[in-house]
Amino acid sequence: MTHPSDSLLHPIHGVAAEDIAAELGHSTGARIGALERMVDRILRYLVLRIRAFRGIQILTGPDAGALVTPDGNGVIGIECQSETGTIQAVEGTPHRMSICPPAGGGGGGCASAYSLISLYTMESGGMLPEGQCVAVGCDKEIILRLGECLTGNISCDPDGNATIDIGINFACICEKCGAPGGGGIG
Amino acid sequence: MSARVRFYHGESGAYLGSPTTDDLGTVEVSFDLHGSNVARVEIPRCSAFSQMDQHAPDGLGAFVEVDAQSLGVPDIWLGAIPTTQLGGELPSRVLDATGPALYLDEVPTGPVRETGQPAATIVRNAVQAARRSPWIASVTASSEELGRTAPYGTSATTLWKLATDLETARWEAFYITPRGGGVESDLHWMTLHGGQDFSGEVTLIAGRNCIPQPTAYGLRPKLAESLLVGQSFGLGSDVMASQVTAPDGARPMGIHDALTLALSTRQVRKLAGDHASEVLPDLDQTAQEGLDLVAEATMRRAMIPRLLQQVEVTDCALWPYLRPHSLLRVQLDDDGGVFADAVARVRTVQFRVAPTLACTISVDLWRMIG
Repeated sequence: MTHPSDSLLHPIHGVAAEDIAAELGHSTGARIGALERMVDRILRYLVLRIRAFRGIQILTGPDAGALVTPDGNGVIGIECQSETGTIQAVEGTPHRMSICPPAGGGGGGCASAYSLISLYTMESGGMLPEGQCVAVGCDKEIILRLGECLTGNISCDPDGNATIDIGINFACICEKCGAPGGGGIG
Repeated sequence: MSARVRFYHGESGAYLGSPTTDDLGTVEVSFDLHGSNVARVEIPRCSAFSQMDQHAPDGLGAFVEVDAQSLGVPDIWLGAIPTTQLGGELPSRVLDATGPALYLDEVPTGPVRETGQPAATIVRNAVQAARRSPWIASVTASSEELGRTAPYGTSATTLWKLATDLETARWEAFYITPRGGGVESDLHWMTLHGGQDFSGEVTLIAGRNCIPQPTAYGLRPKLAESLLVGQSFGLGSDVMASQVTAPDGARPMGIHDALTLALSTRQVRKLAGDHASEVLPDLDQTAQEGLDLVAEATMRRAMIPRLLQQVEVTDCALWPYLRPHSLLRVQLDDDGGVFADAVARVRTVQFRVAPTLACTISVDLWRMIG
């Protein structure tokens, strides 16, 4: 029986002939199909087994929820400013994060105490000797924010100079830090 | 008795209509190792049913069902027309439909963590979790399949890719059978040779109930295939063994060694000297016919490699047995007589169910020994 060339039963162009050609490797379409299946299988394997690193999400702290993603080279930069502190995102780039001590004090612990002392040192315009008073203008509003290891007092003389007395309890700080002595602070 | 064609909505699966026999031209369906493969439904333009809205509404395509079981076709054919198919100025519109490979490849599945579950269980879970209906009513498995638990895992893919990938990974097979009267089907998982064995009931005899069709590709092996056949011999033929004579001083050679060396002349030269090559086929100089002779001689004696053949079945009474995966007995009048008595596994079946009846199949052939 003869079959038209577009018939599924055609001896050369039909499905049976195509099936045999594909099985013998003579069908271009079948070879492409086999390649597509192979590539697809490899891709699915890679996705399943070799998951791409997509970044770090900060879960706690002031930047909770922020996503730090790797750059084009798959790298995330970390700025180490202290051995202890919180992990924070770096504003302006999604590919870097910093480990910073808490700014402005607050909370307890060694890092807070150091930070607070450092802050006052900068505000006073120089080194803050232990237990000494520093004179600043009384026309400025001075607010003392003191941690649990610090004590302070403000007084003004008749000339308008203010004196701030800050007491640093190094024993308290060292107890929280677990470090011997209290030298070098301030 | 005639074939019945039904159309269903491409998204909802709702029944749309069924053309009468007068509305149909040529209708052909093809089944492969997964079930419904492709179909060709011709609808004359003069037919009222040729209006596009009736069988591909909303531009969403349609499901097509061809039920020719009354003619002896063992399975209902079910597939889809993906998009509107306009036939131009031809006197009839020909709808080319594709089996479940088309619409199951549009059903996304989630990742499968590495698991030793049976393939049927993995596919069943994917069917149940599918957000888009795959129109698979059930997933069953033969008892043999349930014991196979090679680790398998994949990332997100489609239902069709998942199933076909599992076939390869587990060395198994699945077959989809439409339920009929709707767009739902059953998926059955089985071993690779899990088809029905009709070799004791049905014999295709060339010239009596079938016509082996010449193919454009032939069965003549290529040079490389001849070498592979020769090198895969478990036992050598008398012809080749008699040609190999180990000279004095050569190491003792068994039949297998002799045959292997017969196809590796350079090795023979190393072992036996140049004079041995005079009685052995030299790969660099022997014609294709010589190598074919070697292959055929051994095929007659020992292992028969699987070969592929296309056959036109002329006896419609055999149609119910012509199902992919089924085993049939075949007696072909090939020149070498290799397949005078052979077993065929059906790979594809093509039925023309209207207006005239015809059938072709493609099969794997193995010679019966003993």
